[in-house]
Amino acid sequence: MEHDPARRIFHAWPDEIPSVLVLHVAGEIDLMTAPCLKLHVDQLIGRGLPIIVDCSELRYLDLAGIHALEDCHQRAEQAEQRLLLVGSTPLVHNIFVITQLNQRVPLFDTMGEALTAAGQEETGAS
Amino acid sequence: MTQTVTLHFDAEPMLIRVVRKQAAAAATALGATEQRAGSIELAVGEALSNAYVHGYGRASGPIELEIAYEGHTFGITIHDTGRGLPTFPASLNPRDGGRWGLQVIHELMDDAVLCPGPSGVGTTVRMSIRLSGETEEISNAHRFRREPWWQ
Repeated sequence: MEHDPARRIFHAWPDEIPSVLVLHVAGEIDLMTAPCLKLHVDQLIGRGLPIIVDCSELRYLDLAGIHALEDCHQRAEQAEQRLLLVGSTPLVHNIFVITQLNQRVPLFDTMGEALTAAGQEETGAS
Repeated sequence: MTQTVTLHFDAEPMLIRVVRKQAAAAATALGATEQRAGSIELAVGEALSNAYVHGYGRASGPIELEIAYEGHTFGITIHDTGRGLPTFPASLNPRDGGRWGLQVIHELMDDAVLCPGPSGVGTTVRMSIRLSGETEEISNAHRFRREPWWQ
């Protein structure tokens, strides 16, 4: 629905990278848009590959978004997939640290580091 | 002299977004750095989300938000008339019983307290943060031109 305001505030798009599922997220994740994040990650769960959520273009993330990411991480683990986070602006990084999400969900500075970690997990699992 | 702006609106997700951005814009206009304005936006967003989710049970309800600026201190007071809390924590530090949303506010702001609303109805969150010295430079520049700094 084009008139859904959440779609103007939050954008997510998948990327085709061999052996890894990448979801780029941009804009703002708050009470209004956190359910959209879950819907996008849901589409990647059950596909058997590590999921990287790229937050480098995320401008705003509040506790509703933290809970959504944590929920996505748990559901991915239940499906025996790893969920990794990459990149964050200073404000987003701040809330990762305050809520200690970075201690529960792997967080990498760059996509390269996350891809390497995801690849190593795949190699280790096979 | 304290300068204040008061907003009245209903707690609902789109308006929460609008108002948190207004608070950040006000801080920026007063000389806040991008980082501090971002912290204010997040702290205000969390306080308003708490009112919407916990105070009003994810239903719309009236909010009064006051921004007060004095002596480089940017203060925000948020009142809701929701169901309040059975007990109010001594501070917003989680070690004193604060919850995560409140801890986020505690970490982002210089000072923050949670207390019963006026006449014991609802909840009031008061928070403040000192803006950087940039404000003083702006203020002095305008004083030199003998104009009120906010014009």
